[in-house]
Amino acid sequence: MWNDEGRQSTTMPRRTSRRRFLVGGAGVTGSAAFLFACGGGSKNNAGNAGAAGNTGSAKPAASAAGGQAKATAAAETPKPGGILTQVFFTDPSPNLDMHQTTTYTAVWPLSPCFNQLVQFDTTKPDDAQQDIVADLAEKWEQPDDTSTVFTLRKDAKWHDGADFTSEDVKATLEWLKKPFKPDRPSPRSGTQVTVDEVQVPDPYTVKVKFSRPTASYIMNLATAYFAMGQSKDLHDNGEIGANGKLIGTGPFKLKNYQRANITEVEKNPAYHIAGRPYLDGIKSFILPDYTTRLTNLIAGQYHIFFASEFVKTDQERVKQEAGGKYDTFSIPGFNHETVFMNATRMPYKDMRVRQAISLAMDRDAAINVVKQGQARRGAYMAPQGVWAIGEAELRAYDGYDKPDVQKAKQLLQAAGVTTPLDASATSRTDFQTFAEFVKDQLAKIGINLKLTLADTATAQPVLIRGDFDIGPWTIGINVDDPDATFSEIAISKAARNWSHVYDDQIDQLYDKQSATFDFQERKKIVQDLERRALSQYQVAVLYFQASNHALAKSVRNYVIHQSLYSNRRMDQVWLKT
Amino acid sequence: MQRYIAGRLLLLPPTLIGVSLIIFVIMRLLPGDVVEIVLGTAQGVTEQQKVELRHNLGLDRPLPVQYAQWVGGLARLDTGRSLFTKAPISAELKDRLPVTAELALGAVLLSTLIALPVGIISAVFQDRAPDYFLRIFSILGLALPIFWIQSLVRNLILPKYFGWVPPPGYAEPWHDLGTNLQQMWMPVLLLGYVQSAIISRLTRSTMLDVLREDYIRTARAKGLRERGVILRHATRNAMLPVVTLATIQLGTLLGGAVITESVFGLPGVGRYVLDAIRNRDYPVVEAVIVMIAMTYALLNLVVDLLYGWIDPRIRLTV
Repeated sequence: MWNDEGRQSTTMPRRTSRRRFLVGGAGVTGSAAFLFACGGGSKNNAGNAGAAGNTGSAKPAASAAGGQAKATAAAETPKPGGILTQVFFTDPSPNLDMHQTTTYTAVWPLSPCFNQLVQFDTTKPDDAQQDIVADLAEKWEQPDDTSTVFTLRKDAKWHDGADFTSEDVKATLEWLKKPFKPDRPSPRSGTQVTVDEVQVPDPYTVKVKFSRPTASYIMNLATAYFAMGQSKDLHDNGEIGANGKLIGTGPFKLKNYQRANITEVEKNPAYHIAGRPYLDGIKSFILPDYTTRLTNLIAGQYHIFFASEFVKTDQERVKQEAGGKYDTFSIPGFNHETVFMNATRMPYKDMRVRQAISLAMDRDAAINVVKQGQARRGAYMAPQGVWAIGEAELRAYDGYDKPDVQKAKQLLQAAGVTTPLDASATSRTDFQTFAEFVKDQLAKIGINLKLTLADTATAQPVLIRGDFDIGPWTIGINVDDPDATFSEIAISKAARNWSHVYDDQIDQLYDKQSATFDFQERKKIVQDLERRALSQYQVAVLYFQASNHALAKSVRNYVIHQSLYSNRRMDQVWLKT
Repeated sequence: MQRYIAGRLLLLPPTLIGVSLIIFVIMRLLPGDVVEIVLGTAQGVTEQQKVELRHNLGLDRPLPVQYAQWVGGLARLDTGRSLFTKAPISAELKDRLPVTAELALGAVLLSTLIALPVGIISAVFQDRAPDYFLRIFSILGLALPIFWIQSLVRNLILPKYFGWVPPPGYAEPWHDLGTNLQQMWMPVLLLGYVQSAIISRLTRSTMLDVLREDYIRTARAKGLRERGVILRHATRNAMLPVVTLATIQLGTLLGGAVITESVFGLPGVGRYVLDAIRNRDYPVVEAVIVMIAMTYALLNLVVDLLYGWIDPRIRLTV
């Protein structure tokens, strides 16, 4: 035995001490755990989203909306089984009750557990008025202009086995108007403002009486936000999903919800449509970091993927690196990026100044630079929808065609504005790219923006209080509906008329179109309304942005809709393995 | 010893009151409030609704009243409910603490296992090849931003060059140990490496000081083997600052490693408090900060007791 000085020792070899044994054992255990942990990783994950053979996958057909159709080919028979996976950056928020939420991150994981009274046809991506079909209401009629009668289906049951009846509809609609517990918010209570009374003459008939004709009522009911809740649940607990117990009538039931981790739903064997759903369940993972989500997608961990950060270059990456497992889509959406100009402050009170700001904006550059070409010029109503004025006419309004810096400067001069003009701007941190673009554009006409970016809790109250000059912001509308759109930013009572530009004619036209049922007549009024709002330069809308998705080729019978808030029930979806 | 422990425990309440007051004030000073977040500006939200909600959440009461109510609840071990989700905070913490504890304990243990030999070898072979190599190893851990290392390894190196990513989500070890290990080994390893950088540098520094002491020269002169001199005499004397640092790191990590939890999607305390700050969810932030303060205070007590065990010359008196 050799000692530390390199001399041979004559002493006996040391026996293994207890310490040596423990150290050695810890080393062996740690190595074994490491090898165990590295085994069976996600080289080919179980339930791999792209595991299906992808030969013969139909190229997406362009719909009128420029989206895609991925209906089941005639030869394919839906196959039961499989778990669909998807991922979100945050939890259903603030809780499991979609009635209280304002985000798709709640709608997507929870919609499979519910039905609405009516729904948008799952095969038609445009979410148009004419695409509304039956759901829990088999039919609906309007005996007069101020009432609607729904006839309910008789075979729907709640997940706890109770029958679905008209009392449940009454409770839901009344809750939406005014929640039964005072500390529960109802962000869409405005959609029920004209509802005077909900009558239930029998267990399967609901009569809604309005204070005035309300043409958009059915349209609103078709979005996933208007899931029907159980009367007993709403009255006893004050909300849906209290204490983690979600009771719906939908094709899936809540199996597991771990905050910040996963929402898991499983097949409801007693669903009222025979043979549905096809899927065994849906897993919705929660992962804040976008890069990690994208990496997981490329590794094939998700079937469905959407993220606001999912730009064109990332879509290309998925196509190249994911082994052909996915199709990617850019779907025209209802969200638009807009510049608010605070008319309670000078010089923005002067319409010529607002006009100049609109003229300074290069909308083509905005679309190409900020959105990598995945956006479309538009104003108030979605350009791909049925209500908007045509693009040729839109371009006649200052700024909506080409920018004109010279004319903008002249308008500022005529308004008595001396440049350079310092202006304060507030926006959200996740709108930074857009906000910086606006800053750059305004610099060309001598308006120097002092831009403050903050989180929602800080930035939004600034705009609500009117403590800003310029407000670059993203506005999201649930559905292509004039009531939803103009009541958001245009009318005097609009929740987000942050420009504080009030116009009696806008209000009158809004009220008139809201009470008009005939589509053609209403469309005329809506277009007049849009023209009027544009002529006041309330806001400068730069573009409507597309929503970018990835869809595993193994997913069948799923059409991505323009609205993020429809076609999320997934009972018709199946996986080809 | 018992008097010492009792004395330290008596210091806990005033410490916690001080911390609670500071965090209460700071949260109220932040712009924005939870009512705006919850209600947003969706169609039909009125000012009246906001006033009502603010009242029902108790946010319109005078600040001293809000503080007194909160502290009173804490004294009854009632951390209250989240203003945003309405869920009991204690239930949320009960779900999240094990995740954070697994990450923190694993990272600190691994960092110590890495740092001690690195620091000792570096000191013993000062200014020679092993020392240079190990110093580079440590300095990289100090210099490179943790989010960069984690994202690089997690989202580039492993998927691209090894074709591997961890299973999605988080599986509890008592439900599915295999999946849990697959999900946790990378964050623990990377976080442990970064933490070890600091400890190894400190270990090297204290070892170099200790190795120059007279008693080390005496031990060598007595003919003790070098290994015994290093491990049994020098290391033990160099341990005190290392133990302190490791304990501080543990306390910090138990408060939540936000970046690690975000990159790896771990539902721990860090993400919980980050979301609460974003949503101006005062009770959650306050409860978690008080919990962290209590953890630090208790860990400090443990460290002081460990001092006595490591170095019997230290006498603990109140």
